[in-house]
Amino acid sequence: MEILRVEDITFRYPGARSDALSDVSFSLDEGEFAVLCGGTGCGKTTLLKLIKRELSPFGERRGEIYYGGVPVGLLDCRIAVGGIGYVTQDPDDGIVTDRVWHELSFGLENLGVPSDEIRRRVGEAASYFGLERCFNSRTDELSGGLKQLLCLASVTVMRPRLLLLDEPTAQLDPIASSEFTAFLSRLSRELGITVIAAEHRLGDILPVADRVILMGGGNVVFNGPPRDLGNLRGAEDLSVYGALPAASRIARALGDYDALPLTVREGREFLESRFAPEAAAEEPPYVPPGAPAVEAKGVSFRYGKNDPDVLSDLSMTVYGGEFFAVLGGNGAGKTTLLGVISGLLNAYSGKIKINGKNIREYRGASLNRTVALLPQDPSTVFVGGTVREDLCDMLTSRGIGKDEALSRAEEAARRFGISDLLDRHPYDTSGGERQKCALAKLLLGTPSVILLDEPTKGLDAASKAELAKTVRGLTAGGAAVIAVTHDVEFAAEHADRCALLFAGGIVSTDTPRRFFSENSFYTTAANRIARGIFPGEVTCAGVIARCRAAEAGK
Amino acid sequence: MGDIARFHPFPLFCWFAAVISVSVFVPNPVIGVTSLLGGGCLLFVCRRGRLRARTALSYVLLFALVTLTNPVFSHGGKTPLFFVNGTPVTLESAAYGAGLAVGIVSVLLLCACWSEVMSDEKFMYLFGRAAPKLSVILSAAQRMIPRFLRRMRTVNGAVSALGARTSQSFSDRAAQSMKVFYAMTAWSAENSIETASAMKARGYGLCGRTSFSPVRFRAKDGVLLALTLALTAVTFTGVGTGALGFEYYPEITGIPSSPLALAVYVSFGVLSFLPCFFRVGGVLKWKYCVSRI
Repeated sequence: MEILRVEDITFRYPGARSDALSDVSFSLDEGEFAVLCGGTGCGKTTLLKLIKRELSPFGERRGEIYYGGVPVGLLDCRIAVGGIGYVTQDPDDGIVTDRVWHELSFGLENLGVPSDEIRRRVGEAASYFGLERCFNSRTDELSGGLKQLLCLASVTVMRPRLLLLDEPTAQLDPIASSEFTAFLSRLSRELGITVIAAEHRLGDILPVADRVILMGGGNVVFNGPPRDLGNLRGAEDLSVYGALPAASRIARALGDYDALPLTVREGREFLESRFAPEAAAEEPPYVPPGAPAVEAKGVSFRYGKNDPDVLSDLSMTVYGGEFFAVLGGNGAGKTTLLGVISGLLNAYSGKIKINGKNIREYRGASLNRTVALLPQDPSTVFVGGTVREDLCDMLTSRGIGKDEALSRAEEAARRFGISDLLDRHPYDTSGGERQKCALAKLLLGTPSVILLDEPTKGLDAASKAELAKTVRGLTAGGAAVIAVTHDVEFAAEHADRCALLFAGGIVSTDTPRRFFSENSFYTTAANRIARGIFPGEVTCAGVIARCRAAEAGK
Repeated sequence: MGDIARFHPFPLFCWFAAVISVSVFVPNPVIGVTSLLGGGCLLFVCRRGRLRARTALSYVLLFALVTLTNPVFSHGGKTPLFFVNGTPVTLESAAYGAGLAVGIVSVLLLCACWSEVMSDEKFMYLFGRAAPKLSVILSAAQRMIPRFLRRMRTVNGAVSALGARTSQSFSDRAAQSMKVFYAMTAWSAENSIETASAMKARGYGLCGRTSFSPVRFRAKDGVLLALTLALTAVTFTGVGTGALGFEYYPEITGIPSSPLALAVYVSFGVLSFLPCFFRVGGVLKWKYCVSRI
């Protein structure tokens, strides 16, 4: 049965020069699991918000959206609220109350459900979603993954028939993100709820989805089962290409467009059926590109006197001109490590040298003229009313005159391609734009050691590629860049060396090819696909190159 | 087992209200000492026997301070104990000081118990009933305030670590702090818009809102409530008839010991130790029955 029909929806924001959506049409049957994808600004969020009446943006709108055969605008209030559930990108925006039980019951209270029935439904939902243990906890003490699960649970408890999710896993680490996706597919399979999830990381979600709706420039470009994405010619130009699972990217690059492989297993079968196993290519030993920029020896840190060590006896050396990626699980101490190097936190033992000088010898705030940290949430670095003000602020705080600061800020904005954003409030920018602005602000201080905390979190493939280009530019200029990240694909593709942080120390450091090809759990999908066939290859590009070479050799 | 914090908030509130009001308004030494012992015992039970020496010492010091200060400033009463610079230090004034100290310390002990037992949630449950919308607003505020403070710390750290606060001059740093504060107001405005739309999306504002709380009224809560009300009624009867009359000035009167007064002492004694009895009963039940199953 058809549950949702979107008919020729065209939408334009007030004052905008072009349509955000133009003639979007599709329909969904009850119980379908659809993935809505497309680059940043393609209109995914606008479309979802138009379907959820209470969140509909103001603007000029044509066309109609039907829920269960009734135009959304004419739905009964209670059906519109309870029948269509909406989960936002940042779980902190979706949570209203201070306790988990209250959050779960909030929607039901609003619908006027009797107290005894709320008790039953809340209890049922808490046990289905595994939230019993934190039922009485405060909502702000939960981890990001649990928070997002709570948002999903507190919407599902209202028994919706249609769930809309706007990039629900963008703020989660890979493990929490695949758990969340597994829950979504369980909801659709076990409860028959129709799901539309907007996503730009497709690796986990594509194998469980029934349908992919691909948007580009306000239009629906593709609408069909995931495996048919292979038939979409010329998708290499679309930003969605970089978001496809590794198996699909390899198969597409080799010109195999039918029945696209989606999972690692399918990818291996694809390669095994076409290529014979080869020996690993020799890799030259690593030569550091410059002098040591950051040297840590025996560093230990803990947050409180009686707390366990977060970093214990950690030693590492990062060279100038190098992009160094630190990987590690949740709570491994990655953010703490950056805090200690940037002087925000003080290690209780050990020694850290920046450019040969102990950080304790840097007086006052002079350390942060050399070492600068870009935090996980880039919006925390903005204190001005506009981006321009924020950029100038960075220069005037170093005693540079107002006029010169203004021209230098504008020059930097041109370099970063953010000139259009200069007069906007920093919070009125998208995730990728905000990060570019924050990075521009940081680099106006000309630091020689740049620390990035989860720089790819919430970014789409195109923004990641731009970030990689910026980092390359910095290392070419002799700066040392240290990124802590969960994103193994990004590290494999762009880092000069990778390190694994475990139990408070660095347990292995090597070039990405050696680092990942020796790991079997903590490695890239491309490496898992090509293991045993093209050993030593850790990126899609690498595997594709070996495939092409093998084809040419035949 | 018999965990006091697990009682329903309403009987607990009645119990605290009864014991605290009797201790404050009835100046009878027996009542005072009973309430002191009851409060001390309850605090000990609430903190599961982990009453720190420093906490206990601070109560003792406060007690001593109030007892000794009163005779220094008040010289009423008929029985001088000794003279300091020609002014008398009287027995009545010393006794009054001790009585006052007993009252103050017992109320402090009961307040400490209150904060152990009555969490924000219970308070909300009690007073949120009157205004269900207010309870949501309070709940949202209780989530907002810690988030605001945490965010402020994060922004301060982020701005320094980014290198935007390298100036040494005091005025520059003050200006920077002001800017952080402005940024925080922008953030909280943004945030409240997000919260408002999240609330709307989940139906806030529809008519006929109900209210849910995981708290349940069990038989045990009924027993606590009934006992509290009955014992309080006996106590107030005694107080109302003047059977507990006691004066420090001009001369200490005898401690009332009429049958009614004795009945009041017993019932207030039981009332003061009521939660402790429940707790001890629970522990014994666990020890001798449940754990043998």
